[in-house]
Amino acid sequence: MKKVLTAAAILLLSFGFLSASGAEESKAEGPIELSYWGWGPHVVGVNETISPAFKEMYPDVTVKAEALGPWDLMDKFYVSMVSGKGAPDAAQLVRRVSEKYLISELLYDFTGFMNEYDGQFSEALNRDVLSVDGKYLGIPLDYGPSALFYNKPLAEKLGIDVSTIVTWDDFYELAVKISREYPDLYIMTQYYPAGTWGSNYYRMFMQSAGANIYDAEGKVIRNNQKMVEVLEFLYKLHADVKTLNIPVNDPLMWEESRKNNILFYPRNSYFSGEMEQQVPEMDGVIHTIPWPLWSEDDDPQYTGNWGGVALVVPQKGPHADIAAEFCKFFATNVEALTQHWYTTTGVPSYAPARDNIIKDNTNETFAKGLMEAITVREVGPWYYTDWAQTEKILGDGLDNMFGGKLTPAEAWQWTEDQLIKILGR
Amino acid sequence: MVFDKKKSPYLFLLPFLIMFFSFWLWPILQSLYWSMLEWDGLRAPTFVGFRNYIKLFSEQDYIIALSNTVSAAIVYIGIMVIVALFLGFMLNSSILPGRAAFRTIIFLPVTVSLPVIALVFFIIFAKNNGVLNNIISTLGFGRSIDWLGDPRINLWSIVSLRIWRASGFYAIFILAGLQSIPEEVIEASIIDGASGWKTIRLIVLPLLRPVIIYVIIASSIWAFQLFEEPWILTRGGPVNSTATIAMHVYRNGFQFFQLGYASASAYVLTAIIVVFALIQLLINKGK
Amino acid sequence: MVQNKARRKTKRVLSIVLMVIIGVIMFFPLYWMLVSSFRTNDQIYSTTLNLLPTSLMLKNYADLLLTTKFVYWFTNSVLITLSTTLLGLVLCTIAGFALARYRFRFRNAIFLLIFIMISIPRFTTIIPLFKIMSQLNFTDTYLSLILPFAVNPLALFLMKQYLESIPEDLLDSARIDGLNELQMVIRIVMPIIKPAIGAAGVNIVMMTWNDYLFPLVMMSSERKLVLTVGLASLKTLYVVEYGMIMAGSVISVLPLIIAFLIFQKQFVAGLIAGSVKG
Repeated sequence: MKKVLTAAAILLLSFGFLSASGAEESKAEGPIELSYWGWGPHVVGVNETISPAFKEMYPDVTVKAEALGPWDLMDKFYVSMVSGKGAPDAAQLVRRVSEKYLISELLYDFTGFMNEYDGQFSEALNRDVLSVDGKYLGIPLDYGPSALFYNKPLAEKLGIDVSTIVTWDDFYELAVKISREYPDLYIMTQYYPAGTWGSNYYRMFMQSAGANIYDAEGKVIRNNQKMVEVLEFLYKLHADVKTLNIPVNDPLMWEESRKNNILFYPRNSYFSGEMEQQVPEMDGVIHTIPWPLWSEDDDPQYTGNWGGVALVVPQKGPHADIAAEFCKFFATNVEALTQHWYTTTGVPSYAPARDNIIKDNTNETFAKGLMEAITVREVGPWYYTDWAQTEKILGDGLDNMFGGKLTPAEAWQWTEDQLIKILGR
Repeated sequence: MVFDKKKSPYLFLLPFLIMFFSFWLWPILQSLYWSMLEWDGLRAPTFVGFRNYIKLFSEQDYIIALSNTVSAAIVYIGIMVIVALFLGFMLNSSILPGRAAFRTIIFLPVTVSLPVIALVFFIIFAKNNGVLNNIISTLGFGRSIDWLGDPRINLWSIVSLRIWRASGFYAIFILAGLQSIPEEVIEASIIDGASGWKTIRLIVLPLLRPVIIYVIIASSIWAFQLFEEPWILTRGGPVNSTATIAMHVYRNGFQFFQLGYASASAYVLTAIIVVFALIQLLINKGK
Repeated sequence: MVQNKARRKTKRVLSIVLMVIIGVIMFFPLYWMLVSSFRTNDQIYSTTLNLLPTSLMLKNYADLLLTTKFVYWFTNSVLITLSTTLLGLVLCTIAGFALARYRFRFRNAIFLLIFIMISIPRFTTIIPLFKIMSQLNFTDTYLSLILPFAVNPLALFLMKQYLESIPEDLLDSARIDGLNELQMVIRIVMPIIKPAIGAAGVNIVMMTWNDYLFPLVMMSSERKLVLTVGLASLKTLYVVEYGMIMAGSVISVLPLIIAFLIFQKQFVAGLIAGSVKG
């Protein structure tokens, strides 16, 4: 027995040590395997569609995508950048917080490519998240513009004509009325506490109102009246309308959805793909209308944007050039991006791909009318300066307001003060 | 002779120490140096001396995180030890049947990884129709409680999760302690007329002291590093009501890219834990 | 006397009731996890509290085994945990023996230093540690996880306490028999410290099996992920595959529970000698 145990121990240990040698990568010529870090359906898409398509152009190259959670990916990527080792050949980043990762000595420079494709990547300002000192250090892959989702049979049952909802004021009036008549019904879902994920959710409202926290120089806008107005509206909505308040990913939301207890979902395009996975039996129930305006004579008519994916290539990688080629290929491949839309309902940043979807809308998304609802609006300009920190401060400010500690005006003043004090902007 | 009585202690310690030095001490010393830098990890660092530490104590969020961490840790350790003692006594009580099964059941919570536990508790604590609120309303106590969203109670919801998770594990330590007390000691005191509670207080608890101290030391290390549960359940909110120092370290280090500042933050926490541990050791020695 | 008996009986009944209540509370989340692993996502989300195992659907398990690299994750976790525990026990036994049985300079200082260092939050050390591992070319190998976790101060502490309780006569007679110190530790000491090995082993196993951050950062290839990281990767930005995560968790607690059932006697006995002496 003892001998068996000893043998087992030695075996196990040597197994561990032997596996160390696996780390030596062959850098010799021949077939190249590019590593790609991603999350969600992207990963499946890369492995099953995009990599084989890329292989037709570069027969020696295989792209192997690995799935990680998005925030885990961001952490891991950061560790590898700091250590200078262990980075993948290419990766996707959460675009709205990617600013701090963009350092020109470390990431591949896509400026030439982006200039060549100038005008073909939509929503110019969001693209600027990826530019530092005039250099583009990443390629935007997709984005998630906001839309108002609703339960159509439920709306019909209640005798609501959603086409009358043009502005948020229309929405508010209708919501208050239904709240009174049907006290058991949730008019809409919203993220609360805001400090969890809500920050970005409420930011979509701000963005659609044409408001901004920072100006183009990255300075906090003082006496931001527009922002106060948005906050006042959000507070009113929170106080007078029956909302289902949930932190992110609260599974109970799906149950309420399924029981037809929720009328509206102010969300973004990704929500359709999410619903398809979580409540597939609601197929045909959920429809969309454009994100309401803040006033009827808004021009341009803005909507918000949840965020999106950025493709980056660490410059130190042995195959940086070919990995960059892959990213360019992925971000401009109409077929791949079209498929990407139907699985994730992330809108391609590459305009020709988006136009292709609009033109050939034979295969509807889970939530009906989604593409029409989002294309009649333009994504509002937004400056994502110091976004990771700002998101935290913004969430705290909103929670102070929703928690009843501060009035909307005070809450905004508080937020502004914090931003200036902590970030020195 | 290599393994004689003189050289052996050093040779025996050597492998442990080599690995301890390379994989614990060296990284720790390196981050001590980092705590005096202003550095995002990617660009060239600037040496700022103790400025990060000074900045920490002028940051409101940090003070809140500090007070949350310390109060959560103290309450957690206090209640957890009491619960573990109680469970330990139950496990040792001869009048109860099925103790072996019970011992296994109370050990179970600690086996499940924290992210999964947090997911389960997400559904238990949920405000709308969460398990806990369903039970409360079934029992007829009206209003539902916002276990994770109400800043007055959410920290304690999380502490109770931790107590639930760890007390069974540490109860087994207590049980071990109880089993090592000779039964005659307890019996003798009962014959002397000491009542049950008195026996426990005057005879059993003092004999259990070393094991209790061990439980406190072992659990305090993790108690002060509170991170996963509030991070998954509340992200530290609303408004920092469940923010902790470990979260501050993570946020600043990994999300805000302030490695120097994050290291300083971690060192303050370490100092607190060390002081806490030293006090315990002193109390223990003083006896 | 009769009254006393009746009182004792009530006490017994009350204790049993209390034990059952506590057992239910302790078991509930795990029970829920188990039941959920057999349910579809929409059954999991159901707000009508359904405690009975309404279905015995094995789809989550099938999906987990067929569509993910679960088998690899599980194997990796098992191999890493076993190797770490074995290596850790060897290291802690001989180091603990040195600290417990010899007088030499800096003995207390070394011990205190080791003990204090475990209290530093690990996020701070992960980046420097990753650097060291990558310089040694250990990243993305089992070694990057085995080596740091094999050095377990709590296990060392338990070992040291236990080894202090071994009678000196035993060692002396071994020395008289002509064994050198290493032979003595291997042939005489190791066979009689099974309980301490149980207690220290549990500490190492618990720390290794459920760790998340280190394996997340150290391992990159999908086939080399460990269970915790692999299961977490099922949680994407917007969608949580609760059913599959629950099924995976059920499988992942099984080895720990089995190990506990097998070793609990030694575990408890090891704690008696190891921790009680303090």
